[in-house]
Amino acid sequence: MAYIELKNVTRVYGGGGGEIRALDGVDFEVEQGELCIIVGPSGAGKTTVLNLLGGMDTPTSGSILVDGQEISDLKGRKLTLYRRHDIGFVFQFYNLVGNLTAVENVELASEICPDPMDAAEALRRVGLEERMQNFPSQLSGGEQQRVAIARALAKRPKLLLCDEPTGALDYRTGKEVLQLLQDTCRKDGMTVIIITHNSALKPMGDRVIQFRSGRVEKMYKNENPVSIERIEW
Amino acid sequence: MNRSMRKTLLREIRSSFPRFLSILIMVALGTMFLVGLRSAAPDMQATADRYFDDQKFMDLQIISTLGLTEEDIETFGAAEGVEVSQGGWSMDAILEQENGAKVIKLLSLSEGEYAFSGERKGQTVNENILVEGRMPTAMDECVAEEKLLSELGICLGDKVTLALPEDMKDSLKTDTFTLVGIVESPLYISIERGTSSLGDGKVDAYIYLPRESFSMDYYTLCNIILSGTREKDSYSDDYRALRDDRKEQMTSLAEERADLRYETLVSDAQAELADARQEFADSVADARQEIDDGEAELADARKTLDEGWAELETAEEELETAKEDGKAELADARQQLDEGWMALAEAKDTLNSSQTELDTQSSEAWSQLEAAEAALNAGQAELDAKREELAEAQTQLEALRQQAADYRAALTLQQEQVAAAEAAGIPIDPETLIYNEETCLMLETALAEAEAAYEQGQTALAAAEAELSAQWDAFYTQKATVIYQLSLAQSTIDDGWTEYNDSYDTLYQGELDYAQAVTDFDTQIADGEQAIADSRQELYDGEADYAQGLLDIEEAKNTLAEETEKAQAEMDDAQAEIDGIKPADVYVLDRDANYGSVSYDQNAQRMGNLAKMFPVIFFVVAALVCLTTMTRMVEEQRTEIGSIKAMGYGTPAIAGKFLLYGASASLLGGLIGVLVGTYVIPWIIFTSYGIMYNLPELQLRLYVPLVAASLAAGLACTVGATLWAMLSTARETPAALMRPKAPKAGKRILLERIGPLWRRMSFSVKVSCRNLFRYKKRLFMTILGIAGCTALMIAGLGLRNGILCIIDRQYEDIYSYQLQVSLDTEQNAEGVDALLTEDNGVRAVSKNYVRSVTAKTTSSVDCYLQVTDQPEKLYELIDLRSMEDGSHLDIPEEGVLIDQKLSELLDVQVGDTILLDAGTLAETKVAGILEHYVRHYVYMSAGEYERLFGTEYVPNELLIAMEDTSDEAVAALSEELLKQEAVTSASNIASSAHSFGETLKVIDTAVLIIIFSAAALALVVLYNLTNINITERLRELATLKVLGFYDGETAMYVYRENIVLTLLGILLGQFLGKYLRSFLIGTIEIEIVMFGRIPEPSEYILATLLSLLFALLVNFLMYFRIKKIDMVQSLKSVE
Repeated sequence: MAYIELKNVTRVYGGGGGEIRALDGVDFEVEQGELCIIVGPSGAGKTTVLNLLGGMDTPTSGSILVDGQEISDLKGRKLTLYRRHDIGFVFQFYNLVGNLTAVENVELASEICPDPMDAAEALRRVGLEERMQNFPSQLSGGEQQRVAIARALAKRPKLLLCDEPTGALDYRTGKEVLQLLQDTCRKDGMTVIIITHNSALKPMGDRVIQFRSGRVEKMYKNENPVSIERIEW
Repeated sequence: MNRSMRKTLLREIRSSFPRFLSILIMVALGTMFLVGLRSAAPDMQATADRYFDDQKFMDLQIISTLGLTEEDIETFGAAEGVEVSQGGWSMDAILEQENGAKVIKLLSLSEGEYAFSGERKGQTVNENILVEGRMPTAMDECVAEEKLLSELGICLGDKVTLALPEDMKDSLKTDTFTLVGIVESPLYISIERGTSSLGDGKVDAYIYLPRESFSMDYYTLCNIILSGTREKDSYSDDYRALRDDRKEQMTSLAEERADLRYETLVSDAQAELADARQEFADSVADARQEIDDGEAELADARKTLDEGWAELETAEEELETAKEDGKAELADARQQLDEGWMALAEAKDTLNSSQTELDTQSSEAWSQLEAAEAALNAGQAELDAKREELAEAQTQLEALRQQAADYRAALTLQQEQVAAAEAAGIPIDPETLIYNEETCLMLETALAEAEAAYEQGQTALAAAEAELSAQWDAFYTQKATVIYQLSLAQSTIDDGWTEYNDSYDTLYQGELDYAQAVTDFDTQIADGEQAIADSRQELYDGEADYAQGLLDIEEAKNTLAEETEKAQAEMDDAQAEIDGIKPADVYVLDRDANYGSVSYDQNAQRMGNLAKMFPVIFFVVAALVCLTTMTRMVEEQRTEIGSIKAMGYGTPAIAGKFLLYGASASLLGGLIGVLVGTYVIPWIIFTSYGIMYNLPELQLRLYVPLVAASLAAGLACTVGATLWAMLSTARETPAALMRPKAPKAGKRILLERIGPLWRRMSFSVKVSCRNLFRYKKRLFMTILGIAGCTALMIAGLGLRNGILCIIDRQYEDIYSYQLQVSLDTEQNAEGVDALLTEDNGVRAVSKNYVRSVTAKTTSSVDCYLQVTDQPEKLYELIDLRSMEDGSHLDIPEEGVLIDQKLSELLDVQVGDTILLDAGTLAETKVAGILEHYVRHYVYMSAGEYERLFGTEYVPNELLIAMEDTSDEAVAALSEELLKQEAVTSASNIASSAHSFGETLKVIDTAVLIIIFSAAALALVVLYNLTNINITERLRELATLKVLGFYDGETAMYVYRENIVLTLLGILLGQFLGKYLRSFLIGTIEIEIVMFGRIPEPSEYILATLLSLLFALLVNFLMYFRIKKIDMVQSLKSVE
């Protein structure tokens, strides 16, 4: 059984006549330790999948298994607990708390974890040990995103979900961040799911899932994923 | 503004409705308070004014201690500016009922209020409102207030009997009245009914009587309505000025009339007394005449009696004589009778002896006769025997004859028969022939011998017989002689007996006559004695009557003497009374003397004072809230502003939207506030006063300037705040605006520099600390908001305590007496002293002199001057303690003690000089300042008083503390005291405390309004700020949620700051509250009362708890908002 398994997942927004089927019977699976790239144009349903996987939303129907745990029917506190312990989230806009220093932002997450990574260690891993005491406003976008990754990693999550992690970054910095994510996957065996509209990133993933109109258009495994360094777009 | 702008505005309002609402509410609250509290006082005053006008409430009332005459009333009526002048009566009476006696104020209806029949005539003053029933149509009907009926449990149609005090006894024509109607009098708009010298000193209810029921020839009061006062507001200075002018004029007129009245009264009384004296003299003369007549009559009686006695004596003597005579006569008669009887007895003896002699003679004679007779009879017998023998011989002769004849006859027959049988041949038996002729011849020879013997015997017998007959003749002659002689003697004797019997009869008759005479005599004597006894009895009775007559006369004399003395005393009293008639004291009272009117005004003013302070706080907070809110709004719409600006709209157009937003919120809120403030708040206040005041429906008015000012103030708040918020934004270029505003950079805060402390803080605390200082404006806003709310509540509660504590402090801590008794110094107070014993439950008594004075510095204040020569006793009853430290203050030998409020009003300190105006002016120094709450008092020693005013110290007041402080015990003593001439009034301070307390309780409503509004304020401020806080950090909070923070943790992330801010706000509020409290109390305090100045911890605790509660409530409401935050927000791009 796969580490992450989605079976016939649908998510319908709205009701009555105006309902929108954001996901319309999605099936896919991701193995542990894989770097999975989910691509598709805007409105294809990638963010919905991310929300569902991230425990921010629940499917209308279908089942989602993460490490053998059925999360599609989790609610309230259990769902929060799932987010808290199992999920690391990297936002497109970093979502750092401006009023907290880098290390404090990491601590924000590690504080609530049963077995967190030391905040400083997490920052060291993303290469920001020097900027630990800086406020987000004093950091560049890439650095901020790295703090965000550190914050996600500090929780030692089962799954690292990244929503357009490079969306707000310039090319070079974006690459650095992606590299960091790829490294994290490779070195730490972390299961990483990156959601992006940038098809160019497909080669870097162990698994690629292509979305279109709320359905999985295509899913395949890259036998030989390419290092991000070698990918140009 | 074009269509799209208007649309944006409406959409804006709809999308940010809570924000719009919060501005609206703040402005509404501020306006509501400003308009409401400001309107309350004039509304209340207008209501009372209208009521007074409608009921033709008097402007002035003239009272004279000597009463007012019809002429007085007319004179007043003719005075300039007087519209109506009408006399009337007012007096106190007792109404005895099963459930106790009630002290009743009896008042006369005004002329125009009723008519016994036909049209109502005359003027109406102080018109009663007829609530139920009808007005009187007869002399013995009355109307009363509802209170009387409910308290006594009587109904319309019932009869009430009134008892007037001794000196007013004849003031009414009848004392029993039928209750025909329930009325409300404008004289008594408050629940207070005033005091009385009757009963327990407190009037319980009023009763109105028709004027015809009063029998007094003078009025006790005169009600005056001035012309031109109706048009003026009763509580306005305008009115007061006009009234005061007239009052002055009426006072001098009234005094003039009073002098006249005094003179008339005295001369009338003097004349009356003279008449009385004359009448008395006449009656004394009459009485004396009567006594003289009585005495003459008695003398006559004496004479008659004496004569009677003399007559009686004579009669007795006569009777005695008669008795003697009678007795002698009777004795004579007796003697004669006895003699008669004796003679009769002698005669009887003589007769008896004569008889005996005769009898003897007779018997002798008879014996001789008998012997002779016996001899004769023996001769006779011999003769008879010879005759017998002859007869016998004859018989034998006859028988021999017969035998011879028969034998012949039988021999013849036998011869014939033998012849016949020989003839017939029949044989004859010779035996059968018996008879023979021999025998027959022998028989015939015997016969012839016998015949011869017989012839011889016959011749002898004839001779014997002749001799005997001769003898008989002799005898008979002798016997006749004897008989004759004897009968002759007997006849003599018999005559003697006849004579005797006659004498006897005579004597017997005499005896009978005697007996009769004795009886007659006895009867006669007895009758005589009876007559005498009767006369004696009669005389005795006469004597008794006479003695009674003497006594009666004596008594009449005594009575006359007594009556004379009494009448003399009475006349002397009357004279003394006349001499004692004091020149009339006249009082011209205005409406300020009417407790209801004046206390109502004070209460209204209190509300007015409240209005001075409160709305300001609300407006300040409203402005602050607007400022934050609008700032936030402008910031939120930065990009939009930039776009619009880029499209070519000018700054005014852009600002217009926000201004309109703020203005519409403030106008809407202001409108609501004006409506509630104009129509609800005064109504609430008035209604709560309604418990104490009896007034018609509140006159709600819209005060246009006030409303305009309030709306303007609201507008100024929002528009000002909006402009302020817009100012910086509007200056920026569109490009700059369209770029997201650089998020506020995180900053190290000062606290971090204190390493050891910072390190020790938990992460979440650190975060909170940093957050706190990130938005300083909001920090101050929140703190200020909460502080304001807390301060308001502290002030509200403090105000309440400050007012409510007055009762306890003044009437329990400071005053420990129960009864305040006013004495008439001209009366003997010994009886009063006698009552004030431990037996009557009296614990302590203090005798003082008290009077009203005016204390002056640059300002002047009416106060009571309390003077005592026994300070120790006063200290027992009044705790004279320093305002500063509560230590006891002695009444100084020099200088005075004054109360705190008075010192404030006069603006004096210890050592300063004040002037006391008690008719004469005196200057003294303030020696100490006392804690005192109700009215103003100046305490002074008797020595100081005499020195300052040059008058003798005469106590006129008693303060009495009792062991048993229950109302019943106090009422009992006060009733006893009021029976004393020297006591003019006795008031239970518990009841004054109670009624005072009732008045103050109304403040509860005000406090409730304050607390309610403080709560609203707190809620709005906290909600608004928390809302902004959350809105601003929506993304941050969403991120936290994505990171797996529980809802609670997320909320706490916000709350922690809120809590800290709330706590800080509360802390600041304590200080603000302290000042606000004293400011509020200082503003609301009325002149005669000092509110409690010392705050109580409970005020702070309660205010803190309430603020916390509101904060918690807001946080609780916000929890749902936080919970609802969509995590997807975190994925959105930064605006």
